[in-house]
Amino acid sequence: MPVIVLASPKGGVGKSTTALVLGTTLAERGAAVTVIDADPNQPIVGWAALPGVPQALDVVSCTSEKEIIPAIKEAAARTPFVIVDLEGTANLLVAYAISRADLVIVPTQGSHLDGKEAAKAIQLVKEQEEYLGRTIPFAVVITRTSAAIRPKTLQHVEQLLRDAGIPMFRTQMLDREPFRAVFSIGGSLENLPQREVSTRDAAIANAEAFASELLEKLDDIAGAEGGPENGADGEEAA
Amino acid sequence: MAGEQRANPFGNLGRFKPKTPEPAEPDQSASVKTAAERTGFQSREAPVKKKRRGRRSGRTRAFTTKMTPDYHDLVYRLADGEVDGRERLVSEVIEQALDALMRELGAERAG
Repeated sequence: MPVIVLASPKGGVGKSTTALVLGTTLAERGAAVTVIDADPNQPIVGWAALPGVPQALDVVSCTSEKEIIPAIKEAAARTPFVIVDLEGTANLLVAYAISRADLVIVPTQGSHLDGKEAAKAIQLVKEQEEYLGRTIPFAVVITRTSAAIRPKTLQHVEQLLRDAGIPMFRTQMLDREPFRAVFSIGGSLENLPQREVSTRDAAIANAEAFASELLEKLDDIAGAEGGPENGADGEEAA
Repeated sequence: MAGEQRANPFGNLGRFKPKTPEPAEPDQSASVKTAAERTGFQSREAPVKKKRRGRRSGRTRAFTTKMTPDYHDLVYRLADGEVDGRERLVSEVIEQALDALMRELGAERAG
């Protein structure tokens, strides 16, 4: 059921990393996932050319405004999870993708500059809700934070988001070497050689916590919509 | 702790199913575009340029007339090869149409 769109007009905030980590984490645990790479730089298509792509994960390239909605619909009819990674610019393709989202994740780093850009994505979501006449759930995830320190600026940005009533992920995507290493080695975090990437297990724990919180949010959204396709009984499809 | 059971958040992923394709939905792209433009999200794609039909043909007389939109489109569809897969100059479309009319009338073409 869920179409998850990662959007922020700011580049380098961790959209592709978050999309890939989410996609591989879910796929490694048995869910069929399609990741649509809608960034013209094609970071996830590039990753998929490396060995170790989980069997349950399919990567589709689509960078055309005209084709993004059909691509999302087609993927959503094929796999239960669709994750759309967008380019870090304010373009129309972002808007089309958001119009099909069940959840928009807005990654941002803990700085005011990044927070301002994240606000633009949230503003677009709000504007679309008004024009399309439906609620588009969204949540901010703070990315590339340090496991050791919580700078004052980050704390202030978090406070601003909370004060503005912006839904947020409790889990932050930490700045971990394994999240970068998957783009050069390929495959998922689980396949990374521990001897090369010593913080692998910590990165896996971070990814699991984030994916688990995502599932919680999706269940909440499904509940709010009145029990849709992912019914609460949890039975597998025949 | 020994014996402590933790819930596995990934134990029940089967509750998420692919979407059932919906019957024809209204096209909301105009609304999406308006909302996007109001928040500064613009198209980055260049508008589709009309095909150039400017190759030299050796013809020297201009011919200008007004047509209904349907016949105007038909001339260009024929010229672009959208009808039979063969591209022609606009002047060739008109020439071939005139030849066909003359044949239908059983008339001889002067010159």
